[in-house]
Amino acid sequence: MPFKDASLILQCPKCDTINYLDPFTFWNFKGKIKCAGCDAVFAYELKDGHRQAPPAETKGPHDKVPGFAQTKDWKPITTPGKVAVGPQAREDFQGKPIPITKSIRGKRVSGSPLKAEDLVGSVPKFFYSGNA
Amino acid sequence: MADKWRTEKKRPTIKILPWPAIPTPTVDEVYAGVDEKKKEYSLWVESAVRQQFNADKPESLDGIRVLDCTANMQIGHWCSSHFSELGAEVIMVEPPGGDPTRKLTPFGRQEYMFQDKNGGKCGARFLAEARNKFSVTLDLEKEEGRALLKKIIPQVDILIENAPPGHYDKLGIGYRQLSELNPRLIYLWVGQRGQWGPLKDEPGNLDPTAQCSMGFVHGTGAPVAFGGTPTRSGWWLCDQVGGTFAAMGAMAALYARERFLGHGQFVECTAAEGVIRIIDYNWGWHGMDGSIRPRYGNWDLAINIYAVNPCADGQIMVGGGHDRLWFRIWRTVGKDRPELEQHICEDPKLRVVTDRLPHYMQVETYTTMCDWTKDKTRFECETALQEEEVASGGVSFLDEVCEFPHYKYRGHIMQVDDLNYGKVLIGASGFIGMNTPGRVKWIGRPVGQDNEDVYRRLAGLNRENLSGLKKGGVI
Amino acid sequence: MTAAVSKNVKDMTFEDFCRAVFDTTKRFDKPEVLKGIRVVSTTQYILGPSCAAYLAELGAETIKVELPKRGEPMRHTTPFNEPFLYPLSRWMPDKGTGLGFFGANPNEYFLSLDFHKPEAIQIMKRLAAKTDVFAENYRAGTFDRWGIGARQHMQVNPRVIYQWMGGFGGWGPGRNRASYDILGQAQGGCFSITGWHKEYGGMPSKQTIWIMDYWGGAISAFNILASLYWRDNVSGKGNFLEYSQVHGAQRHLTDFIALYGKTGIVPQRFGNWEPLLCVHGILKCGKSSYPNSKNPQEQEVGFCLVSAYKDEDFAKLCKLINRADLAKQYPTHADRVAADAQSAIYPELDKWAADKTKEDVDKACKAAGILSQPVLNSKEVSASEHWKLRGTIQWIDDPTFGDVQTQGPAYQLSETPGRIRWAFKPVGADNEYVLSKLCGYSGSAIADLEQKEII
Repeated sequence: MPFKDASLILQCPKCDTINYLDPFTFWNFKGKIKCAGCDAVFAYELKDGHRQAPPAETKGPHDKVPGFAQTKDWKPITTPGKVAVGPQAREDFQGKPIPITKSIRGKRVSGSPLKAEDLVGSVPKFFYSGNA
Repeated sequence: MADKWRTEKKRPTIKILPWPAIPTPTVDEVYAGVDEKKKEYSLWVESAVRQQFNADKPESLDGIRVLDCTANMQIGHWCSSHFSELGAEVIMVEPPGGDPTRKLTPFGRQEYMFQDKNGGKCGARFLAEARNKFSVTLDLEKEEGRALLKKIIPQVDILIENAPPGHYDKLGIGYRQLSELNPRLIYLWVGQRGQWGPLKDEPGNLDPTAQCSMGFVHGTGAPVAFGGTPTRSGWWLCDQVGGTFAAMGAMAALYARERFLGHGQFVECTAAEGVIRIIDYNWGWHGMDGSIRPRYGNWDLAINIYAVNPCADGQIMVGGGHDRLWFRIWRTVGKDRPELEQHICEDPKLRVVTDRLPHYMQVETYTTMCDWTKDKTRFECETALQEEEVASGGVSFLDEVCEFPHYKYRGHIMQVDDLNYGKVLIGASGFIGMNTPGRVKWIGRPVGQDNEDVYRRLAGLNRENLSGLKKGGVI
Repeated sequence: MTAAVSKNVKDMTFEDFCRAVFDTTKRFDKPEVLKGIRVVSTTQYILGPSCAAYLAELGAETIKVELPKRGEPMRHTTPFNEPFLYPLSRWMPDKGTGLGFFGANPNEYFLSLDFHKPEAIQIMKRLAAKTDVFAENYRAGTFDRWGIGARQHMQVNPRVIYQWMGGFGGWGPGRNRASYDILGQAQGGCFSITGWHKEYGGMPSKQTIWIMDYWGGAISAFNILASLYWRDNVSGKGNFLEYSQVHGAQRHLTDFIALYGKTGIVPQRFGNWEPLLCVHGILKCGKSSYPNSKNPQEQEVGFCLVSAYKDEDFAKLCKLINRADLAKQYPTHADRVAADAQSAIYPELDKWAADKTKEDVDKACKAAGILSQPVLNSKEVSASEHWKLRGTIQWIDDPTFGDVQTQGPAYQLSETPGRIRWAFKPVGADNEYVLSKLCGYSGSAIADLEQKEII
C-alpha cells in the first residue's frame, strides 16, 4: 500500500479507497473523517500537514468528509455526502467544453465547435452573411 | 483566539535592522561564472537602465503641471504619482491643516508615523504617494480660495479632483467652468464608483467600497467548502488600479491635445471600473452561460498546476499549466517521493491537460503535491523546482521582500534620503527605462510647505497677500 | 460650440451634462487618441498582451503575433474547462479559444508567425521598421540573438518605443527565473497581507485577479504614452523600456515597506477589517439573498461593507444596532482603531447582521445615514444599469463571435474616448491584411508562406 504512511492521502485500511484530504480543510485538523468508499469513521489528527498517528477506526458522527476520493483502480467518487462539495459557478457542472449557440440574452454566439465549411476566412458563416 | 498578540499594552519591542541588512550583491557576484556571450546582453540592458544613471537623463513629462486637489482617498495621489515620477510638476492642493489622510496610521499608533524636521507627523500611506510633489493649502469652500484657483488655472495642464459628484461644478470650478478659463486644461475626476450614473459616489466612500461593489471581494478567498469567506485585498487595490487607469486616461488626453485636438477634455476614472476592466473573464463568462464566478482560494479555475499551497514553513507557489511543466513538477516530487509521482502519472483521469482542470482533479493534484511540500521549506521547494525550470516561489513577508537580493539589485526597493523626513524605505518607481527613467527625488512635504513659492510664482502674490489669505483661513 | 449649444450645456444639470459628454453611443463619432500609431505585440499570457490592449483601446493599429494554428498558451485556458469561443483558427475550427484570453486582446489584428523559420524573422524586421511601439516578453536576450531585439530595432528605427516585459527582468540575480502572476504576488508580499490571520483560522490569500500582469501592463502602457509624448513633442527619439512582473508588488506595497523600514514591523493579515480606520469593515450577514436559487453561488450568505469611522457616524451605527454602550466605550476614533478594540467591536456588528441579508443591512444603514456597500457577485454586477450606462461593462456584437458581454475601457474621455471594436480574433485571422499591407507580400507569396508553415 503505497500510501500507508502518507499524511494527506488517507488510504482506507478497510476498503483501500484513496481519500484525498485537501490542504485547505485538513492542514490543521483534529477530529473524525468518514471514508468515502465504505463510510467507516476514523479519528485522525494533522498538524501542519503531518499526521500525528495512523487513522484509528472509531464511531461517528464524522466531522468532515474528504475533498475527493477514488477507488484503488482509479474510479472517482464524487457523490454528494461522500466528498465535500466543490465550488460551482452554476447549478450544473460539466468540467468539459459546453457547446452553446445563444448568449444569456438569447442572441447568437459562436460557442460551439465548427467545421472548415462553416467558415468564411476566419469568421463563422452565420455571422459573415449577416444570418445571425 | 489568541489574545496575547492583540493587547496594546504588551507589545514586544522590535529590533529595527538597517537596510539593507544583507548587502546587495555586486555585479561580479551576480554574473560570476556566467558565459561571456550570455552575460553580454544582460550587461547591456544594465548599462541602459540602471538607476544610478538616472540623474543624467531627461524626464519625459518635464514641463507638465498637475494640480492634485484630491483628499481623503488614495486614488488621486496614486494617479498623480505617475506624473511626478516622470518629471511633471505635481502640486498637492490640501485643505488648510492638511489632507486628513495624513493622520491615518495603522491601529492609530502614533509611533509608526513619520516626522518632519519641525515635528509634523505624517502616516505612511499618505507619505508614500507624496513622492516628488509639492504641497500647498487652499480652502476651495471659500470664495477667495476659488478665485485663487481660477487665477492659476490657465497655467495648469491637468487638474485632478475627487469631490462628491457635481460639487466642484456647483462651486463654479467644475469642468464646465474651468474649461472656459483654460481650454487646454485636462480635467480629471476620480472616485470609487462614479460622478454620474445610478450608483454615483456618496461622500466619504473609501476603498474597499469599490472592491465590494464590483465583484472582487466575492471572488477572493477560500470557497465555502474550504471554510472560507469573501475576502478584501490587504491594501487599497482598487484605488491603485483605478489610479493607474486614471493616469492613463489623463496621459492619453494630454497626448491627444498636442497631437491634433488642441484643447483639453473631461476625464473620469473610478476605482471600481479600474478593476472591472481587469477582472479576467467574469463578464464574458456570465454572458455566455450565466456563470457566477466562484472564489477558488489560492487555486485557479483555468490552470492546473497554478496555485499556492502550504509547506513546512509557510506557503509555496508552484506554476506550470502545460504538459512539459506538469511532468517536470512531478519528476521533482518523485526525487523524494517516487510513489507520489507514480500515482499521478499513472492516473488515467489526469492524462490530458484539459482533464486536470475540474475541481476534484485539482484536489487530487494538490493534495498529492502537498504530501511532498509538507516536508520542505519554501526555500527547499523553490530550489528543487527551479532546477527543473519550473516557476516556484515562497509566499514572502515584507521583511523578506525588503531583503530579496533581486529587488535590491534592480532598485525595486530603495531608500530615499529626504530633506524633511530623513531616510524612508520605499517601493521605487516602476518606470525602468533607457532614456527617461522614472525616479523618486523626495518622499513628501509638510503641509503647505510650498505655499509661498507656488503662489508667488503662479499667482504673483506678495507677502501681504499671502498673510491675508492665511488669516482668512483660505490657505 | 455654437452659442446656442453652449448655453444648453451651461443649463444642464451636472448629471445630464456627464451623461451627454460621456455618452457611450456617441463613442464611434469621436476621434481616437492613437490613430496612426502602430503597435506590434509579440507577447503571451497577460502581462504583455494587456499593455498592447490598452493602446489598442485608444485606437492604435495593434498587431499581435502568435505561433501558427494554435496561437499562444492563454487561448487554451478557460475556467472549469467549459466556455470556449469558436473557431480557434481557420485551421482548427473544431477547437475554441478559452476565456483566459478575454480582456487582454481587444481591437487587435492577429498575425501568426513561426519565429524559428528565418523568413519569419525577415517579416518581423519589415514590421519593426514601420512600427511606433514594439512589445515583447520573450526570455531576455532571445530577440537580441534573433536580430530583432532592442539594439537592432533602435538602429533601424530610432523612433521606436521598445517595451520589454517579463517575469524577473533581463538583469539581476533572478533574471533567468520563470515567472507567473501569482509568483509575483507571492514573492512580493501580497499574499502575506491578504486574508485572515492564522489565529482566526485563515491562510494567506491571492488576489482573485491576475493583478501583477494586468496592472503591470497598465503601468507600462502609461510609460509608453509618456514616451510617445516625449518623442513627438520634445526629443524625436524613441525609448527602451523594461518592466518586470514582480516589481508591481513592491510598488503596490510601498507604504508597508516604509513602515517596515522605520519600525521593523512586518505587516500581517487583518481579514476584512481595516488597520487604518474603524468602523470600516465587511460584515458577515447571516442570510442568503436568494435562498431558493439553484446556483450555489447565490445560496451563500451575504456580506456587506459598513463604513462609520467618524465619531458621529459610529454613534449612529451603535444606535442602529441598539448598542449605545459601544459608543460609550469607544467614543473617539483613537479608541476604536486600536487592534484589540477592533477585535471586540466587529463580532458585535456581525451579531446584529446574523439574521439579515446583505440588502437588509444595506437598507438599514442607509436609512440611518451610514455608508454601506453590499458585496456583489458577478451576476449582480452584470445586472447593474450603472456600469452598462458608463460603458465599463458592455454587450458587443463581435464580428467573429457574436453576442458577448465584455469589459470596456476603464476610464472616460469626453472627446477622444477609447472603444471596443471586437473582443479578439482567431489565430492568424489577419495574416493577409498584415502581410500585404505592411510587408509587401502578394497573394501567392502569402499562400506560399502558409504552405511552408511559416504562418
